[in-house]
Amino acid sequence: MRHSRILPLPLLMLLILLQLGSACARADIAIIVHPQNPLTELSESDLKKIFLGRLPLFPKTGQEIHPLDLPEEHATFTDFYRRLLQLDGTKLRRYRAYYLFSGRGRLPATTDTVTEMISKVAEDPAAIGYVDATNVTAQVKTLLVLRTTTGTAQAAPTPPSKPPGEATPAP
Amino acid sequence: MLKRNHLFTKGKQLLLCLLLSASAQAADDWSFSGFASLGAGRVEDDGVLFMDYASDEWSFESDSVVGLHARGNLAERLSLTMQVVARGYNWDDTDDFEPELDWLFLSYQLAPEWRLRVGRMRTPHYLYSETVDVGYSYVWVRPPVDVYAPILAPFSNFDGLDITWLTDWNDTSIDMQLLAGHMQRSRDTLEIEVEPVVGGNISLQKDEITLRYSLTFDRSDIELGSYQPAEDAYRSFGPVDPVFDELADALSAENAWYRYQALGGRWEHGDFALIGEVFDIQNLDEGYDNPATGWYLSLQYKLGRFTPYAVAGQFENNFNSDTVDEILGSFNALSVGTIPEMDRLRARNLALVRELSYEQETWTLGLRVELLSNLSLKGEWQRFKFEDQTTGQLLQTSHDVPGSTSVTTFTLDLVF
Repeated sequence: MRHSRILPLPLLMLLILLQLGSACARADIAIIVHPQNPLTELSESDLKKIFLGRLPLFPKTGQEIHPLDLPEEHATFTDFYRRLLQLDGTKLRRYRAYYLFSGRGRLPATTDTVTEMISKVAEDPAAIGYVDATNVTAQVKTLLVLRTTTGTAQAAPTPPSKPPGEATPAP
Repeated sequence: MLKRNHLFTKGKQLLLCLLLSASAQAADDWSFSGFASLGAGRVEDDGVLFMDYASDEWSFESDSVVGLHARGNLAERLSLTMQVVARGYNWDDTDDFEPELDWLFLSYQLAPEWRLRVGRMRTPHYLYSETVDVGYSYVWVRPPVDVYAPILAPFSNFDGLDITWLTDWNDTSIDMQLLAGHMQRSRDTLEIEVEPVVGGNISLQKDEITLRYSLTFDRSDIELGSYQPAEDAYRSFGPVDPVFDELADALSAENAWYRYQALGGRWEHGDFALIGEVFDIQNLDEGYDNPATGWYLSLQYKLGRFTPYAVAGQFENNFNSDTVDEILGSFNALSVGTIPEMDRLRARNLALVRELSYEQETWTLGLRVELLSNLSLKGEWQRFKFEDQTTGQLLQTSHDVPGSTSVTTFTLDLVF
């Protein structure tokens, strides 16, 4: 409270601009996994369960899942949890405090940047992460795209005939 | 019993070694976190204490707590979780701020929907039982006292195993948990040993609504040390009339089966939330009897960083409700004036029954403010109204008791 009052005006304006910028830049969110992950699709309800900590193993393959988060301040973090779980900062943090300290499991590991998110997903066959769809590279495979504008999810356009291991380009 | 405890201590040491060596090997597989609360509180009237809060000054211990949490992956699907908590006030005989092991378990994910845990865990009686000490995780200063009652504090942990099943059915999330184990605690003059505790709960969530039902049975062996002379005295009059044996039985809480039931619900609609829970504890055997019931209903509304809330609740404990009739009946078998010691014993017993049977109503108004992303401030005013010259869940410290009082508490809650 007190801090925001003494925030210098230029910084405040910058924050407002960033805020506006992030609102304008709202884009689709790609759910990414390691290229060798044998899954070709993931339902939105399973994705919800993964990031709520209710599903610790990949469906069908039974492989342990290592979910990854962007930093809380990142616009894609906010968009992702709002879009997927309708959870804002306070509610999400309260849920996570409850989840963690009631011994239900672990929270997603945090990555500092989109680049780090992509490289961690590219290194770990058990990882799952999310990035702005325009940031997806050939190092990772997209399983699902969350459309933030229309509010519907679409399966990633991965042709099943594709040889395993080949990365899917961003849609 | 001692042998098992010894084994458990050994187990703890082993797990700690495992934890330390594993953490040295692969720091990436381990995560450490924690929570802390700093509280200040005060009771309005003389003659009663709530936790350690009194009327003469603000005290800073009772709601202050610090907890450390560690979780590590030992192998694919296998993890170890540990949580140590030091509380400024304990409802049992633990010293203030003595670190206690609340969680220490191995967890194995059998399948995507099935998980098995073995070790020490929190007893999941109610919606918030497992995070009672984590102030940041709920809106109140502390979970409503009419349900999260001190009577259950000795049973907050158990050593054993549980299995959980998380699934979906027609857009409804279903969580089921089954558990079995034992526990041992002491409170005041009571030594409490529970063997076994078995139970389960089911939680259904669809959109904005969550419903939860929990059923637990346990066989508690409570040694009421201070009642032993009275029990023996009654027992010695058993040959005179069976009613004296019944009176003796009512003072012996050995190996009695209890049933705990709780029903909870939560409705979250945008910034508004309505939460309510009701519980019932019954003794399933003859003799010693100490049933309790309680409920609360809580309403909250989030306005930006401010969340005002209001709670109504009620709690009732009935100690040996049949005893009054039995004592009156015993006057036929042994009339007043025959044996003065027996007259005094019966008078004291009547007083005890009245003292341990109590009822309270509470009203609470509070406000939670989000200060930082991991820090909140709460202030709460709680009104207690008592029945029949008792002091409800508050400790009576003088002969004259207020018919009602209020407790004001502030807490700062942090997670890290």
